Amino acid sequence: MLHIVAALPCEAKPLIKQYRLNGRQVENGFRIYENKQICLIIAGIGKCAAAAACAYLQGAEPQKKHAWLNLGIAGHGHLNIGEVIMAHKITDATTGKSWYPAMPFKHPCPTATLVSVDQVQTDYSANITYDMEASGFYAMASRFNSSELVQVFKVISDNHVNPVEQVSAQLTEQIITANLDIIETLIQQLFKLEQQQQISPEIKQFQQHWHFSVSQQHKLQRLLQRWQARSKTVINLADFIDAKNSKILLHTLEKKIMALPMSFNDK
Amino acid sequence: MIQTLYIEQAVFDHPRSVMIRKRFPCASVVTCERYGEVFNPKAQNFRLQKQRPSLILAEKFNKFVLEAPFSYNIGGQRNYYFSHMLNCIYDCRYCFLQGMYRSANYVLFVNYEDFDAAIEQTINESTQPAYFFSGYDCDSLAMEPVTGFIKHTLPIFKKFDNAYIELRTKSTQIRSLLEIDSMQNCIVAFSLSPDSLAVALEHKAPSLSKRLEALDKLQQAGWPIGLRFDPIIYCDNYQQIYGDFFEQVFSRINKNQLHSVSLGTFRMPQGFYRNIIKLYPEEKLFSGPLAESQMMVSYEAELEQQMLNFCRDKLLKLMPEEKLFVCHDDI
Repeated sequence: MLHIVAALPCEAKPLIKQYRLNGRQVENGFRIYENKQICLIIAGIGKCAAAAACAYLQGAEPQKKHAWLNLGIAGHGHLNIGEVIMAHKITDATTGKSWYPAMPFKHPCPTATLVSVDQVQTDYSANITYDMEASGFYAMASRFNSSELVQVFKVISDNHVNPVEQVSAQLTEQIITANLDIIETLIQQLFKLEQQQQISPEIKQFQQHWHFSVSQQHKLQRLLQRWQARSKTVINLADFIDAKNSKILLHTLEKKIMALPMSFNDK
Repeated sequence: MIQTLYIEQAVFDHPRSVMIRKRFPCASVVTCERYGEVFNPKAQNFRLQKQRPSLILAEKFNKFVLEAPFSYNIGGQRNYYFSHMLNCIYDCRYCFLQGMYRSANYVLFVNYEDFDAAIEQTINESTQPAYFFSGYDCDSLAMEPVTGFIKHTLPIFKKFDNAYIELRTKSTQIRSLLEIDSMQNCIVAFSLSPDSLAVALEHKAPSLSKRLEALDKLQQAGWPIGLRFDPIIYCDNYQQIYGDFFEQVFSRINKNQLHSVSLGTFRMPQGFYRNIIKLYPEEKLFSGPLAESQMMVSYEAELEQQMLNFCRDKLLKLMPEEKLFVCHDDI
């Protein structure tokens, strides 16, 4: 699942349309749109709002690891309206703290340093991208997953020629819509990375038959992983059904694993 | 290809940083204060980063030369290592670096001259021949075309006859060595594994045959050669596999050029091992007959001894005993 955090409805609208996201009927505090793969939250403007939105989404599924994307508009000294960047460094203008999102995939667009400010930036003299959410988003979302799966994507909405006062909801929708292809590439990259995060083998079927202490659950998890590594076949619960308790089961499972072939020729 | 270059602000204009930036003109350049800001944060996944690591250029301030672990030796009493680079371009599943570092990005310390001074000081202070190992936290040669570190450092060792350097590698980047006269106090040590294990476990590394080709060229050019059979990996038919493998390797070796052979079974500090199995729970290597003991993970004691005895006996049929060194469990 990819969690997208946008500040404004006009930033979200092109994605809601493109990915056919449905609004959640019963929700309190944030507007959320989703399909089976994407959950988009409209956070409101500012770092605190972005951080709160991340916490809100994660809080609903605290055990799960999702990919995260902050998508929105930003200002820049010289980049043209509608150009896009991914943030390779995010600095909080207030605290000076920086984050460095790791991008172990082909960049779908240029990357840039992004400074998150508290107030709208009207000085376009520096060659820097400014926004108002990314540092709050990153500080929070990177608590929930590793930095490769937490990314920030911005479309330039204002510069020294077209200052922020000229940015409208219509323009925002327009420039995000124009970049949906790049956004799609990035989203696919994130899905690909997310799939590589390890999913532990299903232990529930074992838990239904035997009672395991916490340390036994860890042991069972690891044994099932070792089974997966060594055996080409799916583990069959029926082979262990005679085990009278969890201790015997774990012992039997370990013995069966050690009896499996240990060869590297099949890789 | 490096896609992102992180550079500490203090070494942004260092000549080596400038040279490396020119080598990767398309890379995004990101400045940072200290490399640890990029390299050390907890929220990183080594496995994901390994798919496309970035290069970090940094300055090292201290601990340029460190004492090597006790059993890390090839005949000397004074053993040291230095790490001008952290992390390796190869992706060997048994490597402790994956469990030691949170990031798979490469860190290159560009202040080579400070390493030079520390190496010279260590040699001068040593009453016995000093042995230096350069391939501890990285492959000694794999990034040589980018770093030029070995080309820079070897002349120091030309000045001393009581100091040795080991370049430990799986690389075929040997051009910089072939361009200069061989040095009897520089041992080029190749890490080798049987082909089937290299294919399964030494991802992105040159094949066994390519490594043997490189080794052959170097020995013909007069460089002393080291063979590193470490780690020996358990599999059902390990005796057949390693027996054939040793024969294959020694059929290519000029024994006059053979400096040393070292041997060790797979072992890993417990903490690193636990990190690695979280990254690669499906890896067959970690599903084998391993046991935890004294903060180390290694093969069950009896099996480990059997494996070492078997390999030692086989090797001693092919080489003299005084050149064989068995490594134990301190990393």
